[in-house]
Order: sequence, then structure tokens, then C-alpha cells
Amino acid sequence: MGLPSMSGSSLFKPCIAIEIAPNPQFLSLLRRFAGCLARDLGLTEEEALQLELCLDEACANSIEGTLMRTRQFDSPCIRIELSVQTDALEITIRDSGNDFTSAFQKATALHEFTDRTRKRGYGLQIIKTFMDRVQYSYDPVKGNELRFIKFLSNHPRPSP
Amino acid sequence: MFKKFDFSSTTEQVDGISVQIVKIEGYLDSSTFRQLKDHLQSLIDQEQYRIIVEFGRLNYISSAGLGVLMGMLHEVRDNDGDLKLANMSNKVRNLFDMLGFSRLIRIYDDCEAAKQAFVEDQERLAHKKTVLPEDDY
Repeated sequence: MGLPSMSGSSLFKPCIAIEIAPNPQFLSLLRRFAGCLARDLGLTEEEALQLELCLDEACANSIEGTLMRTRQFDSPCIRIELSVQTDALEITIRDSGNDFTSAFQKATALHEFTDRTRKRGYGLQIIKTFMDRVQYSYDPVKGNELRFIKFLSNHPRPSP
Repeated sequence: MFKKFDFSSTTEQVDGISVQIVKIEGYLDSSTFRQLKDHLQSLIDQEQYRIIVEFGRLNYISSAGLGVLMGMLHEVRDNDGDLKLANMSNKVRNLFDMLGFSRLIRIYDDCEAAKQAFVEDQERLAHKKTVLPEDDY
């Protein structure tokens, strides 16, 4: 069963929240979920794949950052919210890992990137390349919040 | 649960060249990439620099998996070898294309084409080694 139609209606805008422990074993489940949701929302196969990849990269970063800080595999401390808007899918990931403001600012979209000899650290670049809007904030008390938006392909995109 | 990641590895002699064929399956992400990394590193430690990674049953790769391949690629090429990828599903090929990595690493339709490419590489290398000394004059 697909999600209810969004066209012309603001009655039902589902928000789905998932909390996971910082364990990379969860990544495949999250990818499958993101892929199913994307296809239900009418994103193209390529866009669905991009969304799977971006959620994977963002959560992998959160898991790594949180583990470095807490060393606890079991406590569900990474929260993923997927909010379906009329014209977009918005994903927010919150965690208590280390501040990555500097890495976020340095990350350029992949098409502006020439050094492919690097072995790690592509995650934020991938997200900036494939998502339509990406925001990041860090609060010493609340932790990290990474938010990205994918506009639905059957809706016109607002100008930035 | 799900088939996470697995691999098998064989050595084949192709026109007198020793080629390592690593067949991978499942998904290659930050929970599984270390298995492939450790295996490829063990091949390189044994001075095996001609490697084909057969992707036939791999259904996903993230930047963690790509990082393993990119890291090994330079090491084998520095030793007159190569890392060639073969038999990718459309989904995985699409990921490589989207990220621009298919311009950097050679991808073949199947394992036989990748093996043949190693034979051609070897012929080019042999030709280069015989021609170069004359070019010094």
C-alpha cells in the first residue's frame, strides 16, 4: 500500500521517527526503508537510490561519531526523522557525537572535487551533491543536527 | 536475517599471468567493508597485484566500500598491476556512475573481459619495456 496522496491536501503529512543504537548493523534496514519511502512518494529510481545512499552516509557518520564519543553500542541515541511535506521529503538526523562543523563547511559537492585518491570522508560530499538542501548545526548540549531535503520530482522546485 | 557480505577468492592463470578473482556478494557498507579491505590487503601483501573484483551478487556499495577500492587501486597500479571490476548490477553501476568513480576505475561487463584486459595490459607493458631503452638515445 502506498502513502496517501499529497496532491492538494495538507491534511496528512506523515512524520516518521526512528531511534537506533550506534551500530552499523542497522544501516541496511534504514536504506531499505528510505528506498521504499522514496518510491512510494514517486521519486525516480535514481532519486530513490540517491536517498538511500545519503541516509546511509549520514547515519554511518552519526554512528561513527557517536561511538567515538560514547563507546556504547546498545543505547538508542541516534534519532532519524523523515517528514513528508507536500513537495518534499525532509530528513533530520540527531546524535550526540562530536561537532563536525569544520568537516561540513569544507565538504564540496562531488562535481567540484578532483582528488579521488582519498580513501574516506566522502559522506558529506555525497549528501551535498544529491540532496536539494543541506543544513547542519551543533549545540554542545543537544549535539549534532543534520537536515536535508529532497524535493519531490513531480513538484516544481522553489528557487533557493 | 539478510545476506550481509561474503566473498570467495581464487587464483587463475590467464596466458601465463596470475590473476586473483574475488567474488563478492551482499552489500558493502561501513558495517562490512573491513572484510574486503583485509582480504585485498592480504593479496597485496603476497605481491598479487592483478585483481578482478566480481560484483555479480553485490547489491549495494557506499563510500566506505568505494574507499577500499580506491585505496587499493593506487597500490596495485604502482606495482604494474590493476584492480578491475566486473559484472556489476545496474544498481551498483548506477552508484559508480553517479559518484564519478567509473571514470577512475575500469569496469568490465564480465570476468572474461576483465581477464582479457589483463593479457592486453601485459602485452603493452612488455612492448613498452622493449621500446623504451631505444628511446633513450
